[in-house]
Amino acid sequence: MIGRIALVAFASVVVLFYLPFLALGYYITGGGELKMPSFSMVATTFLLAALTAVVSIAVAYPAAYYLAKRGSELEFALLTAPLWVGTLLKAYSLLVLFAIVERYTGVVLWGTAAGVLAGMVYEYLPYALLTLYAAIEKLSESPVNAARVLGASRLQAFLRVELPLTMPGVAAAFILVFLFAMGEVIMPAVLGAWKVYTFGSYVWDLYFKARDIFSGSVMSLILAALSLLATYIVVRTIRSISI
Amino acid sequence: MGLSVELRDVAVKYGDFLALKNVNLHVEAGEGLVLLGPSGSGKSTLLRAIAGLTPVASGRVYIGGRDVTDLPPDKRKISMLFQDLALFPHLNVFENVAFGLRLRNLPEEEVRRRVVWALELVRLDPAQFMSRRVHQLSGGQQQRVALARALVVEPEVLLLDEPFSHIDLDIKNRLLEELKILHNKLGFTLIYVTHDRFEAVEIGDKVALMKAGEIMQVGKPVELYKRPKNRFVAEFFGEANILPASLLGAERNGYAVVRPEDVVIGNNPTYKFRGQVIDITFLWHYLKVEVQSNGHVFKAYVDLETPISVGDVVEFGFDAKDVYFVEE
Repeated sequence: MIGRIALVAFASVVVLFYLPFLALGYYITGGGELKMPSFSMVATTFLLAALTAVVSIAVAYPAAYYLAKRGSELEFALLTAPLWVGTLLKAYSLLVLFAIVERYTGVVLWGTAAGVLAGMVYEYLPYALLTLYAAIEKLSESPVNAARVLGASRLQAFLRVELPLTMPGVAAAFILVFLFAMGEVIMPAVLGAWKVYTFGSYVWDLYFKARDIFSGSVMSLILAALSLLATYIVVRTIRSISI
Repeated sequence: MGLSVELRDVAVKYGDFLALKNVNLHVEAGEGLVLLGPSGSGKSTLLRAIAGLTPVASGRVYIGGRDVTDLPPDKRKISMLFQDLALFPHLNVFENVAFGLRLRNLPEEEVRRRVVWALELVRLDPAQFMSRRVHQLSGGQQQRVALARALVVEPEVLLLDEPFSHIDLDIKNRLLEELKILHNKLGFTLIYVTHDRFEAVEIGDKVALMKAGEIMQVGKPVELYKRPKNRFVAEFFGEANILPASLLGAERNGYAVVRPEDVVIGNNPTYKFRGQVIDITFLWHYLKVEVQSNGHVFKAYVDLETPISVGDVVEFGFDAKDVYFVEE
């Protein structure tokens, strides 16, 4: 049953979205030469997306843990506040922040991978937070207590019991943020100033600058396939080490 | 083996609610004590205070004569069985049992030897169960794994929080039997929480009966049964006829407690009543007869073959030696 629903969801995306563009592109350009991305671009995209997911989770986990254990509603609302602001607006406000940072510390963020990473983490942190919160919140206290009376310190109980038990939540957060970040266009464009060139930016350029809709749609298909593959590998790996 | 446990004026608060009111309790090393009481009486809280899982608002906790009030649970030389078992779902049976040993950084060989020892102790075949996931086990098997996990660290004090409340009666009885044998064999101090008085007398040398955050009475089961300190103890620890003392013509306040097995039908006892039988229940070893008289319902346990039926008007009563008076 679930398999069929998954298939319908997947097929509808392909049929309604990818195939029309592919056909349209082919019709307009009459085929032509495919403009393949460079390896370094693919690598940058993967690395940025993976780093964004890892950093987001690393930052969100303690916050989600705190919220789940003894956070107030206000703190919850404030931590998810970035969701209220549009991506473009966030990108441009960060530019201002980057300028201030550069003015006072000399650290250049605009046009660097670090800057793009900061932007993407800021953008996707709330998603990681909400996903992790759901996983940690439903954790019962008794396995931790059991670990404590068996001789585990607070930290050992966390590392050996709570963390493994919340791994499904970590996996979910990773997939969510990673997939968003793989297709990210705005943050690399604005904060990376086209110097940090990602797959998303490339597809954007193919569509809107080169007007090569055929290459653009083939590239977005490839991007989707790569993301799918990466997700599959991540889920398998995490499943094999947790429950 | 085994360490004594002592509580002096221990109070526990949950917000404004006083869950334990200055409790004093002494458990001898190696003794088996049952904390008995209705739900909400504070027995689990008391256990958690001993374990260090609930902070005490005032008073001191001693284990083996050492003040452990400010020590975390992992420094108290205790082990605990939880009501919901709290097995680690992400680990297999072996790793569940080995958990406490791994924390002590024992060599792998030693860990293995002791896990096998503990599994055999609770009668689980190590070869068959070691690599199973805990959710693949039956309720009774999970209980055994939890017990093995608690025993493998060779605790001085074993705390049990209604561990067998969710399993079949037959398996429960067998586990209680085995727990008792292990207690005798290994010599740890055992503190067992339950709301079931039948379970309580199975396992405990002594029983502490609790109500509303206080210990009402501590003693051997027979003491609580024959000489209850108050009406609550008399009612909770076994069935009882509780009558105003004045009904027996006694010149005192309080109540008279008479156990149903001391109430006789016919005969010629000291205190005589006359009433109508309103209910008869077959209870395996005896009949429980309820008789209405003087505005009270008297309970009497009589021989199975007693010729009696509902609606009969009978003479009944009890002897003065079987009456025990309580103040409140």
